[in-house]
Amino acid sequence: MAVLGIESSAHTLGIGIIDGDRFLSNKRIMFPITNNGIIPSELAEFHSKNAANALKSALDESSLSMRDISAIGYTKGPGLGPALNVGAISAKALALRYKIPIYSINHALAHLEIVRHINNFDDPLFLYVSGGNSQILGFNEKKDKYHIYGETFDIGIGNMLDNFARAAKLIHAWGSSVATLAENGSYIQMPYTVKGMDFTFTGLLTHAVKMLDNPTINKSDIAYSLQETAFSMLCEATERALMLTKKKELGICGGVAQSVRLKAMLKCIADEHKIKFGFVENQFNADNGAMIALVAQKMLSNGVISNINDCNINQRFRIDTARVYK
Amino acid sequence: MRISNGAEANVYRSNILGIDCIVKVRQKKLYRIQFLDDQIREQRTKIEARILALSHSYGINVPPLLLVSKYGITMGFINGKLLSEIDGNTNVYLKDAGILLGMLHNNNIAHGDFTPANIMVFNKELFIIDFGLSEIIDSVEQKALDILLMKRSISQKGFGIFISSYKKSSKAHKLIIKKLNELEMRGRYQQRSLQNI
Ligand SMILES: Nc1ncnc2c1ncn2[C@@H]1O[C@H](COP(=O)(O)OP(=O)(O)O)[C@@H](O)[C@H]1O
Ligand SMILES: [Mg+2]
Repeated sequence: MAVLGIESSAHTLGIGIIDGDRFLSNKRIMFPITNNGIIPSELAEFHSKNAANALKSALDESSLSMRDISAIGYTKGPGLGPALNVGAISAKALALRYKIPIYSINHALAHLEIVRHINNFDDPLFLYVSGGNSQILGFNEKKDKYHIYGETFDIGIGNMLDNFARAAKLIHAWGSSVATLAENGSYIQMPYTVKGMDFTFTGLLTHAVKMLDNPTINKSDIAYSLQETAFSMLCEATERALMLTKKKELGICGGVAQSVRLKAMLKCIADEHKIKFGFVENQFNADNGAMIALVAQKMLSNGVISNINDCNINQRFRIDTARVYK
Repeated sequence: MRISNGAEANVYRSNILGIDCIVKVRQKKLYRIQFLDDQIREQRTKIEARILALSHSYGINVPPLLLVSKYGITMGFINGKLLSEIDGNTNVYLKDAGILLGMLHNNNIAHGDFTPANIMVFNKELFIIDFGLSEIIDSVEQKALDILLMKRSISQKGFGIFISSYKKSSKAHKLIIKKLNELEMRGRYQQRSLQNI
């Protein structure tokens, strides 16, 4: 009962195949980001060009053919319209041709669910950290949806780090380059803004970028301070939500969950509260097709009826409106 | 005797010369680097003490400030309940909460974590606590955020009562509520509330 997942909400085209608990393949092709950022139409073209190859290599790696696939899932949103369309259209074409059920999936929900699944968590609190998103979530009372306890008032932590990397002219404009630059840095004071379980990053970013113009300040000190401050803000808000909800499991997910430092900080909180801490390996933190396949598989096994005519995209699909399946 | 260990601080019951008081001590957090940890705890202790004293002088109900040290504050004990823990009808308290927030804002105090979990009720009177995230600032946005946090924590009807008394006491309420609408329009907050926890 293999299920295929297609992810195309942002710069990554992902195709994943899952069969029960086994992740058979998880192919990811990333749009090369230049300093101009992402141009949606170019991105869509890139994804369309690569879709066939990615599908073939995912099937090859799984030693399967399309005839062995029993359902298909794709990312409905949130994301960039033109990019989402590529995934939706590909999924529909495959579903029609092979006469299999098709499910539309919330991207953020998939990030959370793969961590819940791999760690065997029942009712965790999540810190979800990606480019555009930074949220603290857990199940609502009925446990059929996720509830947002806290989130960023402005930009996501990933975009914040990317913007800084670009301003600092780092070779790769993303978070891991900031982490490398931050090694051996020492702390300089930065603006720190937490409001209850919410937080903001633009003040911090503006401050750090301005410091880059000052030749007497060491760039690695700025990167270090920016990272420590931003991560501490996330941790403080997470710990407040943990005490409010009294949950016994803490998970981290999303692209920025690849950060070793952020995971270490959260683990420290979990240890102090004597609760479980869970994460997944990096290929499942980054945008990927396997997480989409996983949620589609849950929908299939829960007997959710597929309706291809409802399979559209929604660029602003909020996670707290998406159903969770056990 | 410890009466609370919150996300940030432990609160102990104490008695000095026959006066009931509490000691609120901001705990060390191992996840953050020491420099930042010391700085945050010290700065929040300082601002909390400063605002307790200021609010008191403006005639706003807060626990009386008794003593401040680097990471600890001793203040009067409020022998009451948190507004968030009161069962039954809280409308009359929400009305008073609106008046109190208006008074804080008129004096350029933004609370930073204004929810029913940081309001105590004693003898039918409200006391505002937990000023660690507060700022003395003339910022329409910071003030609007106070209202937003409250809005998310109470029912729609309760919020109606709260906001109408806020309008009566807050001088700049027009600008602040306009900002509140803007913040909500940003989209993140649509459909969001803390009602189901
Ligand atoms: N002056 C006070 N009198 C009585 N109880 C208090 C007083 N201040 C705080 N508390 C109790 O301690 C708890 C935590 O205090 P608070 O200042 O809100 O810190 P935090 O929420 O940051 O841990 C409150 O919810 C309340 O139950
Ligand atoms: Mg409190």
